[in-house]
Amino acid sequence: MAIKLKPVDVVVVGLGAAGGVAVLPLCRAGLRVAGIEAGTWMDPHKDFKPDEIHNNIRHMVTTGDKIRREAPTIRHSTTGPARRGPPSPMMNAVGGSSIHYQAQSWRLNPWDFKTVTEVTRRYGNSYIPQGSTVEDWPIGYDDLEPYYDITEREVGVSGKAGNIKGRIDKEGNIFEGSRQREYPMPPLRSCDYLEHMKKTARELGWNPFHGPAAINSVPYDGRGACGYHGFCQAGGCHLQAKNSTCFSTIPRALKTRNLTIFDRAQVTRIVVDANGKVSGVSYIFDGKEHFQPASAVLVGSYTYESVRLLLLSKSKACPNGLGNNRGQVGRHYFGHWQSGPSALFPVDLNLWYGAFQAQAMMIDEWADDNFDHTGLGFIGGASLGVYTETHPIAAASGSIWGQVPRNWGSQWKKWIHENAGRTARAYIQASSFPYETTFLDLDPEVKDPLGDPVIRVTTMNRDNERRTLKYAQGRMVEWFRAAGATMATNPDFDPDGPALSTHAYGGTRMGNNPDTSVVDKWGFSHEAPNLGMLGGSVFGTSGARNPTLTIQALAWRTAEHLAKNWKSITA
Amino acid sequence: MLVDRIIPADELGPGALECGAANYIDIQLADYLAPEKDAWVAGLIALDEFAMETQGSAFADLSADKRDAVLLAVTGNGAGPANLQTFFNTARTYTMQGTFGDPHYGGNTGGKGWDIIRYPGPRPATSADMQRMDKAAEPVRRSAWGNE
Repeated sequence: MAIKLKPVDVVVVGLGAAGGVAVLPLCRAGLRVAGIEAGTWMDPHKDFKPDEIHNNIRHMVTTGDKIRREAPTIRHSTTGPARRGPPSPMMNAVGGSSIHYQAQSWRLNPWDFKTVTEVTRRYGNSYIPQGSTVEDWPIGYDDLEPYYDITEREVGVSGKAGNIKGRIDKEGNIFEGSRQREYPMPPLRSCDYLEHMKKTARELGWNPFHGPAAINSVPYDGRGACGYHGFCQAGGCHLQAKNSTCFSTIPRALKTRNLTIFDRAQVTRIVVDANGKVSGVSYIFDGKEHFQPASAVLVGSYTYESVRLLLLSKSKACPNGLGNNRGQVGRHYFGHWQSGPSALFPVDLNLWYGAFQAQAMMIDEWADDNFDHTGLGFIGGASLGVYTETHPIAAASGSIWGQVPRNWGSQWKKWIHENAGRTARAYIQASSFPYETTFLDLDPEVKDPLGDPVIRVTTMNRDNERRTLKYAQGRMVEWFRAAGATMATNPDFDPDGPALSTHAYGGTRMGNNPDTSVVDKWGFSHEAPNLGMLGGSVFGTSGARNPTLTIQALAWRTAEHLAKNWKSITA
Repeated sequence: MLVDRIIPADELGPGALECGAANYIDIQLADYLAPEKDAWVAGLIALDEFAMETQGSAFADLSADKRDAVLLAVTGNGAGPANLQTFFNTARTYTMQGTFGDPHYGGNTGGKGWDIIRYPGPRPATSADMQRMDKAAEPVRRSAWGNE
């Protein structure tokens, strides 16, 4: 028998980047919230260290136990076998992956929300990639702008605006959508290397700018500024300058006394009544099953977990899984196409310290529809970024660029003595879209230790994104070469696209049409009116940049909508 | 010894052995890397057999030049047995960790490995000056976990 708890107003499943933000507007509206989290609190003084073995080799801050237990399987055809993939670097903890994320905090550009309309208008319908299921989002950039503004302040984002109410500032991103005001903090510190790359980009006629980051460039919210110690990637911030939700929005929600956190509690089912309305969640704590009744449930786990939870939550009212009477749960899934080119320079770059991809010089010239695509064979584009932070083991283990015969011995040792600090890396993120042939479902064979099936990823060849990435890689090499790199190279990538991704989109897509989407424009299920979905699983397109700020703006908007329409949603 | 051929002591300074990489491997195979211990021991035995076959003696008993010759045979264009190539890659990975990783784990004694690649060392925070291209930061050689 499950242990039945006292009813609450709202259950938020998962207290990461999304759920950790959604709890704040709910609690401020006076709703009693149970935040149910599979992980627990991490200690900044004990768990977060400038230590490559701890962070990058043993993944102590990036990969949670639950994630390991239910690592998805992957297949590259709709008929072939699926193989177990590596666990995603997704943390189970209060704060979730926002503890270790790289904290780039972008707004999507207006084009990302209206891709179909914009592409058709400019190039004609034949430019929409074949086999793609892309559609316009049911909301536009302007609908989300007020929520971007709120989350930039509540979470804490540093950056430089490029477009305030239509006024363009070349120090910021001239391609961004119009914003109502400047970022709450100036951009993170620059350095010689980034300034050199900036100067080079300007000589190429491009508009370089400092990327936005949820990292304090100055003291903010009672916490100090970034220390640029060079272990930001895959690590938690010992200074609490990275604005993970466990330092920002969750403590503020706790102060209202309306939030109760149930940690080490793994939600296994969303429970539905005879009418198809959600009545609460079942979770396992200390090996025992608990039932938490609630008037509404917001699911803020990661894409693979969220889709899985819906598909596992079968009932009489929803025999195919929750919100899945039209077979849309798991559809329109896609990972973010990315690439990490690198370059060798003839001088010391001194990139050891810094704040990884948050201390970055960005280029948006080749993103979205910021350039003419006529005859290029693809739509969308990619952002280019160069950044700081090199870890010693990785630097010593890196490419020898064919310059010494082998990667061991005295000759090699001399080479790394000179060159370990002369390699730079870049980050390219391409617009990615959903396709018929790429989706999530439950694996028919592989189960987690509780006996529940894991998610199966099916991913197949796509031309559009492959071409976009190739094109962007060419631009990146051009930038590196112009900056004086003696060598520059692009890694190969899988033409089937990323099966698993730290930017996993779709699966519970947002849309107006229940035949092609799972949630409405507010993030609530077309079928279960008191079930809301948070996170990248509601995205219909990726944009050419990191998703977290958009996830947080949407989470705030969904939570606020619930609070404002409490009676009609929970009736 | 294997680690001293991967990163030898030479005119540039200490190698992996002097930096404590072998110590790191011993300690970690009894700790975090314990699940890899059987594969490691099997690799060492296979390496000895291959050394015996090609150079007439167990690996550790050979001169530095002959040990290099064995490793070249293992790593050169598919010449060596596949299981030894895998073992060499593992050995190289552990050697890198034990030479350039944090001293907390039993290797990189006194942070000496960081001198090899001119890494200025872990600090809780850095100044803007420490990110200049024309001037390296003053090296610190402490573990992030304290003064071990």
